[in-house]
Amino acid sequence: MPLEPTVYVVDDDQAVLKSMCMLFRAGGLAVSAFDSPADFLASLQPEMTGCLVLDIRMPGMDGLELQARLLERDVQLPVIFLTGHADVPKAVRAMKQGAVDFLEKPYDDEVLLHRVQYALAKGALSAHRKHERVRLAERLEQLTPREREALNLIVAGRTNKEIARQLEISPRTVEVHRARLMRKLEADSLSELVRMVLGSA
Amino acid sequence: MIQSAWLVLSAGIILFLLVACAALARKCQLQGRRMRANRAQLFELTDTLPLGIACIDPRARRYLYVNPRYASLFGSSPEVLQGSRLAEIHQATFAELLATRCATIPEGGSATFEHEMPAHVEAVARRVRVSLAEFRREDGDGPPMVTAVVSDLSANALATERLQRQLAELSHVTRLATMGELAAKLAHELNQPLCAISGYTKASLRMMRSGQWQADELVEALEDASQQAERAADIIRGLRNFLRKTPPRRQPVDVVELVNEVVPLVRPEARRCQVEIEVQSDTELPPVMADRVELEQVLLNLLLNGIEAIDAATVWPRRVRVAAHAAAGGVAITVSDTGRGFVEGVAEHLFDPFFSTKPEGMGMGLAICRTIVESHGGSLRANNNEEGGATFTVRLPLQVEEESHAA
Repeated sequence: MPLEPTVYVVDDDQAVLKSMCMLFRAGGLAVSAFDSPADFLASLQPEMTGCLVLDIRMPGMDGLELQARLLERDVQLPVIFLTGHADVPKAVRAMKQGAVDFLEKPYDDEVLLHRVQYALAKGALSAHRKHERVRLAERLEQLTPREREALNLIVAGRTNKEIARQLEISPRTVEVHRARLMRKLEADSLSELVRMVLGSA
Repeated sequence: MIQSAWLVLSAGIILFLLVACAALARKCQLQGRRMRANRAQLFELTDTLPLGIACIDPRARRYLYVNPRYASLFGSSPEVLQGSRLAEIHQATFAELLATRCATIPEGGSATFEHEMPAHVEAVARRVRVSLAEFRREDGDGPPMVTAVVSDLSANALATERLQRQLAELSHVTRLATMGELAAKLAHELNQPLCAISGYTKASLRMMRSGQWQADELVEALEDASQQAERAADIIRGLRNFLRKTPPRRQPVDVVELVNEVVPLVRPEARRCQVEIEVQSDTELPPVMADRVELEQVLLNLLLNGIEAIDAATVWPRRVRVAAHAAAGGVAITVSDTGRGFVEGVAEHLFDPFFSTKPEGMGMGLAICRTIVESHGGSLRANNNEEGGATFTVRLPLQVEEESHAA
């Protein structure tokens, strides 16, 4: 059960952190505050959804490094950076590492809320995709080796006859495999099956 | 018979002599060729030297040989100089000087002299150093010769000027860099509380507008915001204390000397902007107790400002006049320019921090100048001249009251 989509704010300046959280709450969003990247990493859970608002400059591990660590761990939370002063090389690195946005302090509250909402939507989409991928992987696990072979050939566009010839079984058996794997993967049609398998690739 | 024998003998002798002569001639020819080759090599060497070299016949007062560099230093060519009399080539004073020095070198000795070309002489080298040496031929034949080696001192002078210009630029850049760093740090320090204040107030407004708010939440937000305003004020206070806390390094400073030291630093910049700098100081002034480096900075700033003011306008005359003179209770340094002066309404803001009339100006120069002068118990004033341009006046008391810079 995924947690409620949340704005995770990481900033070492207590006042900036608190005021930002207040702003997000006033904007009707769920917020969680961390005053260091290490703190955030310690409470990181795979089920977390939402987005991250990161200060670039922090003592110890800075925002860019935290972003890099999250990429390593395949955490898909979209990131918005806040910075005290425009630093082009840092902005470039942040965007290359897949940041959603790079905003300068003092920020405009409208713009920040808007960008956060966009990041949340993006986060929800990627969370959904990730969820789908996990579910499909679970279903694929249930297939027998023979059914997997049949699945690969079906997705490759072969007819029952061709599959029967290649696997050296009767067309009748192919049909049985086909019906079973459709049921196991919860696919209603051939097109849905193809989309499901290719979409997760 | 005897006759014929004589004839044969004569013919034999003649033939022998002819052969001998031919052999001798051949040998001479070879030697001559070798000598010519050596000479050519020597000339090639001297032709490529970056030093001006000449051979002079001191009795005839003629050039026997000059290398291209020597000729070019006097704006001529070796073809013209070689064989010419000194008086035909050079302006009279220099020709006479060179000839006299050449003639009076002690035997086997040398002589060196420097000469400045008068302004009307079209010479490449404005100032030259000439080193002369007597030159003895091995065979002792021919006229005695003097070698002259000439170096262009104005080239050295140019290098010195370049160095000075770089120094002045460096001090200008350092000044800006220090101020730039300070401003960047200040901006970052102030940004945090401002960011927080903005967050608290915007959040409060949002809550109140949405109608979903609780009094204690708003009170907390406002308290936090006011605390952050205090934090910003603390940063400003800290900066003021920092600026005030620099320990004074007071020593007796001769202001006339100070002016004379700073002016050369800005001369290259003045020359670049075609501005003349005029120094009109009293000959002697009592010393003031001051931080020399700080006063130099003030003066440098005022002079550069003056030059810039003229450079920004197409005015005539283009002159910055700087003077140190006695004033009531102390000394005064005035810096007047012939620029456009300042417009009404600008005068009272001239010394405000971050106020600038220049597009790339930081607006800290005059503010810092005034702070420095006031820390010395003095004053810095600006006014427009009646005949155009502006005058900045630094007044410094002879005795600094202890209280005046503790404030």
